[in-house]
Amino acid sequence: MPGGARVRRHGEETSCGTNPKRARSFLRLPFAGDFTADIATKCGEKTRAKVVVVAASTLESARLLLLSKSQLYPNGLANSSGHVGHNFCEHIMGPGVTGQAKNLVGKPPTLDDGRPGGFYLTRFRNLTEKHPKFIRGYGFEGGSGARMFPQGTDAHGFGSSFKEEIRQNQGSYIGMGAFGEVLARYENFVDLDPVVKDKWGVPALRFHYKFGDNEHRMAEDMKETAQEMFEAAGFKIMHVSDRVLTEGWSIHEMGTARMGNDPKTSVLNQFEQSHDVKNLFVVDGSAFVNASCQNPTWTIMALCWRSCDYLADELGKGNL
Amino acid sequence: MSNNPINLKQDRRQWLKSSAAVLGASLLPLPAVAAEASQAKTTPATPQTKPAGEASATRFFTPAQRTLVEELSETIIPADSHSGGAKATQVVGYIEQELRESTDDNRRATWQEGLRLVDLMSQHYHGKSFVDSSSEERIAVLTVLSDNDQMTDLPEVRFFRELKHLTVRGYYTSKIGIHDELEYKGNRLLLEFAGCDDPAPKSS
Repeated sequence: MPGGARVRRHGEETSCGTNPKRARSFLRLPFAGDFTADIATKCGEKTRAKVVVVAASTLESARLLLLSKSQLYPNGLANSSGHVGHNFCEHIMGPGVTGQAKNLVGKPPTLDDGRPGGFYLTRFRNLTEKHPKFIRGYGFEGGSGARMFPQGTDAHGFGSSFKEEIRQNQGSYIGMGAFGEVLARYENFVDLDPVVKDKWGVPALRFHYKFGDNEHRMAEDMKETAQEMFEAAGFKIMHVSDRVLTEGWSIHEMGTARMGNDPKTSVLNQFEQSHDVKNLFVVDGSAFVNASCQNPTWTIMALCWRSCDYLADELGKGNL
Repeated sequence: MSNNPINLKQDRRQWLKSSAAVLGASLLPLPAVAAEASQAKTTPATPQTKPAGEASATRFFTPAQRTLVEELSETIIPADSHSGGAKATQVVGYIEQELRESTDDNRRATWQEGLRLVDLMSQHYHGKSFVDSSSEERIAVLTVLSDNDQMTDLPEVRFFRELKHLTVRGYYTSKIGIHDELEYKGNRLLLEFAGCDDPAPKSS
């Protein structure tokens, strides 16, 4: 495919050159839902650039590409593979446990908010042994200790015994919840809604996304393992949650313009550069090939840094 | 009282009946009850309006109701040898502001109705208003509601849950609740995290 970005402007096509070396790209963002009115007021302005770097977050970047249809790019910009919007993935959350360290009941208050953070248990499933029920894995995030507003106020009763119970128990609670990998599957995708539009009249995204069997089997293991860990640690179990939070809860969206070596099955190359349009980069979570189970921001930043190094090199060499 | 558990659903018929009789005879045993009862007849969800100009905008409770809420909240979280109670933290002011700013008419009605019912209960069990009762008598009335706190179809139970919820929130976000009661250590630089010096608990 020839290079050069085409982006739609109020229904009217503007095109840029097809030679990447001399391309003049026109980028328009009148439709990004999360952006402030500033962007909207700039609707009438043109921005020219040798290279376009999109980092509008996973969903808005996919939307931007899908909206940028043209004769040259009938499926949307950088979408000859048909994978833009697909392989949507995130983290499954919900199962977890709350417990109490009985040996901390009645101890003098400590400064637990002054710690640098909670605790994190890294992934342990499917590293050395294959789990019989699911592939991939999850980690636990947790916290413990005294807080400014005490835990345990849902205790039964009232009066002086209630008051004392809260005081004695503060600082003895510990809780953790799981973040698990949602497998990236082509069947999980976003596309442009034919009916719903945002306040600028631009199509909104529509979600075709459900957890699969692997996610649900993993969630069962999260609950059982969390309880098992707390019991082994000697905590009194206060509450075990097996409730899986709804799809999208993690707000860790990833995967709608995935990287890959094969332009037929991926949108971007290893430097988050479009296979189709060489002067277009997408440097946010949409480039992810899978969700793993960690919070994605640092990996997004690391990949972006790497891609920008590559971009600077390419510009220096005159390749872009 | 725990030896002889009260059947809330049976008892309430009697105190509701006696409330009707009291009103019919125009006997006003307590200003709060009477004022509340007559107001509940017309506009239960509307806050009290007084011709006091500006002050009326800041009031959800009548002075009598305010005293009642103060004593109720103190019964939920009383002063003890460790720290002050709900009264000292002026939880009533917090509750009043919360209700004044609430857009939930049902919630406001729950409070107006609940204050009326709790005084009827006090009259029924002890022959005097809640405010005039001893602390044992106050505890006895609230114990009836606390022991039945799953009966959320009853307005006085819903009121008790709201009362407890807002008293807890108000108290533990106050200076007395945070510093005197819980001795919160936060918002200070932690130079060293000493960890827990207890030996690792043995798993059973």
